[in-house]
Amino acid sequence: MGYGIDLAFRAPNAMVFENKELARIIFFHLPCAWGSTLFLILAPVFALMYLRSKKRIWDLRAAAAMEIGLLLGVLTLITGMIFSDVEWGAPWNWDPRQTSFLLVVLITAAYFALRAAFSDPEKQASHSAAYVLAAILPELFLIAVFPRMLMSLHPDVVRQGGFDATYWTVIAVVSVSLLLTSGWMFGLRVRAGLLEEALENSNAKLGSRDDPTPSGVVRPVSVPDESR
Amino acid sequence: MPDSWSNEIGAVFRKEIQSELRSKSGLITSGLFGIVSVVAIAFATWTVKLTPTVAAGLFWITLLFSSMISLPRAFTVEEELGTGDLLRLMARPHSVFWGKVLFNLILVAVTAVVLGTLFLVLAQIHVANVGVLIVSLLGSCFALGGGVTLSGALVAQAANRNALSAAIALPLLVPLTAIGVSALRVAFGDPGVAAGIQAAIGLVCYGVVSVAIGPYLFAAVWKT
Amino acid sequence: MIPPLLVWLGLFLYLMRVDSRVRAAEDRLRALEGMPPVSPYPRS
Repeated sequence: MGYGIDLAFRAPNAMVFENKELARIIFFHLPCAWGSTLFLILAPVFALMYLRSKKRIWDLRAAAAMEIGLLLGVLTLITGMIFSDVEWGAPWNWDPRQTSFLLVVLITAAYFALRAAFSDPEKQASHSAAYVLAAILPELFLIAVFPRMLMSLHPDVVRQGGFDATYWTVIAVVSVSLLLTSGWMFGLRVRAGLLEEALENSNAKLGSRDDPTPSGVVRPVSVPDESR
Repeated sequence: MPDSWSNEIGAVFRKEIQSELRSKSGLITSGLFGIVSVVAIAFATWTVKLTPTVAAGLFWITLLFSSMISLPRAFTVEEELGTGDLLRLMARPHSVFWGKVLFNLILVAVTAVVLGTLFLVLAQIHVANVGVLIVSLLGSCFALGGGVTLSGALVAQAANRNALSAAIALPLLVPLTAIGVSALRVAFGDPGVAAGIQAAIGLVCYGVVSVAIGPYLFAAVWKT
Repeated sequence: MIPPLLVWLGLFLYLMRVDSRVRAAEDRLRALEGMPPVSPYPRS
């Protein structure tokens, strides 16, 4: 768990090869996009594992993966909008890639709407797992196929180049530290989820604690302090 | 003792058809909605000649929304009426899904034909390529039928299922709009027949995948 | 360059805090159930 090493990876360096300094937001935009896609790919894997094993831990993992995927996705959109505003004058262009990624974020958000609509944890888990799996095809289409179908403002640096080698180093560094940090957050979220469940179970058993926690719903990472 | 697959699927399908013929609720709902939308569009674009892409887009959106209103009912009505448990006892989840999907495909096909005819007449769209039109309509029906049915199946047991099914289905199906429109606009006159056919086939593939994985996902959420 | 560093540092410190609280809660849970604590570090 030695995620303390990512403290060393902290240099979005002062590379001023772009027109405007604000274009350096690309250093965050790309890693956020990749990270989001990674977690959005992990989520169906976890969902499938849940459906096969029916173990709650996989549902927790799937939900945590979707959470982090959503967070990184929103960050991707925001950093993309900032870049777009600087580069092309408008934050939102209805650009194909931009719009399709927004749809992916909406699909991910709808996952949480679905989760919130169930109170029975088993139904919640099985339905959300089924949704994640059903969403694979649209998401694949949106992320990989659609932006290539149409002309896009979005630069395609992986294929066409245009980035200096130093750029790639910075992006790699940021990617690694972002992945480590989000992996850490993922682990913490899953453990917090397990703790929530344990708390619910003991609430059910003892019935004497006066620290009611909401049940079953995905919450931000925080563990209640018990003071006796 | 479980019946054979085709018996079970046939039974579910026949039951859907019968209850629909008795109440005609699905047909009326989607039909009325479709008609009203087409008339609204025709009024909104009264003097403007619709370009093929715009016409395709409007038609697709109308079909999308009328599907989303009527198709999820196949599942949600079971839960509302309480017949869901009986169905769980009588048939396997795969056959339930197949039976309902088949029914929904018919429903959406009828809606598409009615809508399409009205649309062509009222909005004065000239059909450039009938073959592409037929293939795209078939593909659209298949894709929408499969996708919306699957979403309906997923939310059937949820709280506020009617609104939720729209919230769930829309993000999943909007990407289809791109393919659907690129297929239909060719039918309405835009050049690029090969691309149009390709898009229509893409729609069919989407429908196939939805219907193929649907039973498995449905089985996962359909409990005794 | 500085603002991202600060944001990251803030996030890092926050995650450290959450991590220690999660560990503490897990230790308390395990103590209740009579199992040894997960982390070798003392509870905070």
